[in-house]
Amino acid sequence: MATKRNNAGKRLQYSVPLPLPALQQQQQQQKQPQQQQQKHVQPQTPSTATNDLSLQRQSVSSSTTCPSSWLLHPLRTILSAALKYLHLQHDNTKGSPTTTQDLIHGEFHFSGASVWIHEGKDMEILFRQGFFGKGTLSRSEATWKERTAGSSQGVSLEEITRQRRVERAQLKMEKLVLAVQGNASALPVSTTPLISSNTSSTNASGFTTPVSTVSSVSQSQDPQLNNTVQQSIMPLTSPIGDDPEGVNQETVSSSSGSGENEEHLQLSLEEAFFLVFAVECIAVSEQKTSSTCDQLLGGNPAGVTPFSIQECWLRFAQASAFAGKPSIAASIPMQMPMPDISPDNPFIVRYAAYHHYRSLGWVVKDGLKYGTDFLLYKKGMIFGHSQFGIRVVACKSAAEVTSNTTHQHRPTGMSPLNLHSSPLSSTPGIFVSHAVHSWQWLLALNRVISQVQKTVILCHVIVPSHVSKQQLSHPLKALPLYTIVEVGIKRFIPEKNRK
Amino acid sequence: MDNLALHPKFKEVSDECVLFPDHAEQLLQVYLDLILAKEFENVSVIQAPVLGRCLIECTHPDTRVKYLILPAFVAEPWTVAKIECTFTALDRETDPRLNASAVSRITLGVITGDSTITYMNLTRGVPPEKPDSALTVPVIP
Repeated sequence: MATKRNNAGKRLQYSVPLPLPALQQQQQQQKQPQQQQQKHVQPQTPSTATNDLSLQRQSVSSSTTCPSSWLLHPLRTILSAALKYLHLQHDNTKGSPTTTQDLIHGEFHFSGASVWIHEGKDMEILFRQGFFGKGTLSRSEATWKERTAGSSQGVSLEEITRQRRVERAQLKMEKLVLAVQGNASALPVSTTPLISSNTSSTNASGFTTPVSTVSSVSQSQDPQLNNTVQQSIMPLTSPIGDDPEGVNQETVSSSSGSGENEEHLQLSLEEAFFLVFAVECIAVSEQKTSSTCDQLLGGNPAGVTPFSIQECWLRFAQASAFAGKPSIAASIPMQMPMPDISPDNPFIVRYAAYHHYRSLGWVVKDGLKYGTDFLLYKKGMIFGHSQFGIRVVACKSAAEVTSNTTHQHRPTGMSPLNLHSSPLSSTPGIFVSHAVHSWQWLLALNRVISQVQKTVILCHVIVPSHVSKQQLSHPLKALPLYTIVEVGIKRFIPEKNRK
Repeated sequence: MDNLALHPKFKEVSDECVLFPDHAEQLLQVYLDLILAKEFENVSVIQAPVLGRCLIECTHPDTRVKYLILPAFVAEPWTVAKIECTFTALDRETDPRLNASAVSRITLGVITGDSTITYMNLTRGVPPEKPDSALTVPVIP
């Protein structure tokens, strides 16, 4: 009963999604009768596992050879978003900024390739209505201030957790010592060595009899065990305030005394652009303000204006391209016409996959700790563990590879791709990957993911090769050119897997 | 850098951020994570001019083990050669704390776009074998 109440409480707090634009909501209402006619299919990939399919879609498994396309369903979403965007632009030109005043303000960091949200209420809204972002000092939701607030009144939650961890470690050591002592007492005491004197060389090398070894354990504990236990006891007797360096004391006093929240919500570029492009609820700019867009629209003489959708698209792509070279990126000014971005830009490829899964209703989070690009949650990390680990692989279609090899001439005005292709699998005709991926890479990835009860999904983003800079300059023109192909990977061991 | 300067803890790492502006943001993020979230002790920033960036020395609050943490963004490419160059550069630093860690271990703090930080221990050569405390019985010489 307590669990049910807890889950009900979570659903109240976290399951209200961000309001979609009005046109998208109408499209969803139209999709509902179509969904009821679909048969229930055993989920193998996230595309087949979701219930938000509006149109028939074929997703690739290991046994099929037909690539899936997300053109039809997202096209409606994109068109509705475009119409909404045009309405917004029309409103802005008319000088009625009532819509943008409700937007959450985000601060774009080029070097960090991220967007920061500082306002507490905005942080709560973004996380609780879609699980967007992550608190910089928390594991998910930005709760650092609440967790450390008890330090001025008593013991904070963090301190309680730490004490429990220490107690568990101490208990574990005590059990280990008792277990070793128990083994020692169980063995019979004998004065004759088990190792015969014939093996003199063995004795000379330092081997000892088990009896004497066990007795040494019972009499004198392992100094490492002693040190570990004593070190674990130390934090209980010497609280943080006694720290000679005073670092933690400063932290505690500053955090509890000033009351300032030193944590912010950080959005990845994909999350931020989805909120700008698809949900239209945040405005991203490069300057920090202490409030929402009211200041931006209030005639700020500094002229801080939020980025448009196209500016966000280009800036994020540029930040992603120069993520490892901030010194080079700083020397490139942001100017129009657009900077040179390639179709296989990391941000564009990742965003195509992100948008694909978000539009299907999955909660998409970063998956670096599991060796993947994304993790998919059915409802959110509050409600359960993720089921799928997504590895995004950029590739291009085999037809384009064939045409490029046979026809050397490329039309002018196109941006040629510098591709180094090599086959990934023995399924010709679908795609050829960019980078070399070996079976060792795949099996290592599968091993890591399987140990945490998840399934590996290779999300191949087929990158168009013949695309103009004009098409790449806006997401409404660029995204429909990309195709998503999903492959689920799970190792089968005949001796063990009986299902 | 202007955005970072508005953070209340920026003054503690301002000198290092000014010296190495390309790595300022990742330094600040890992620094904040260590002192505020992980609550490590004896946290101090060490400048490594030969390496061209800063490292953070800290002590685990429970195990009292010292760590030398190198902040890096996830998009920064790392190769085996670059890792070897990093150890070599640390070996040439004048700070004795960096020399000591150059022969043993450094920890890479990898930061993603949503501020997730993953720490990876890098050991030069084969790391020493870790005895299993549950199975190993000490041997009397």
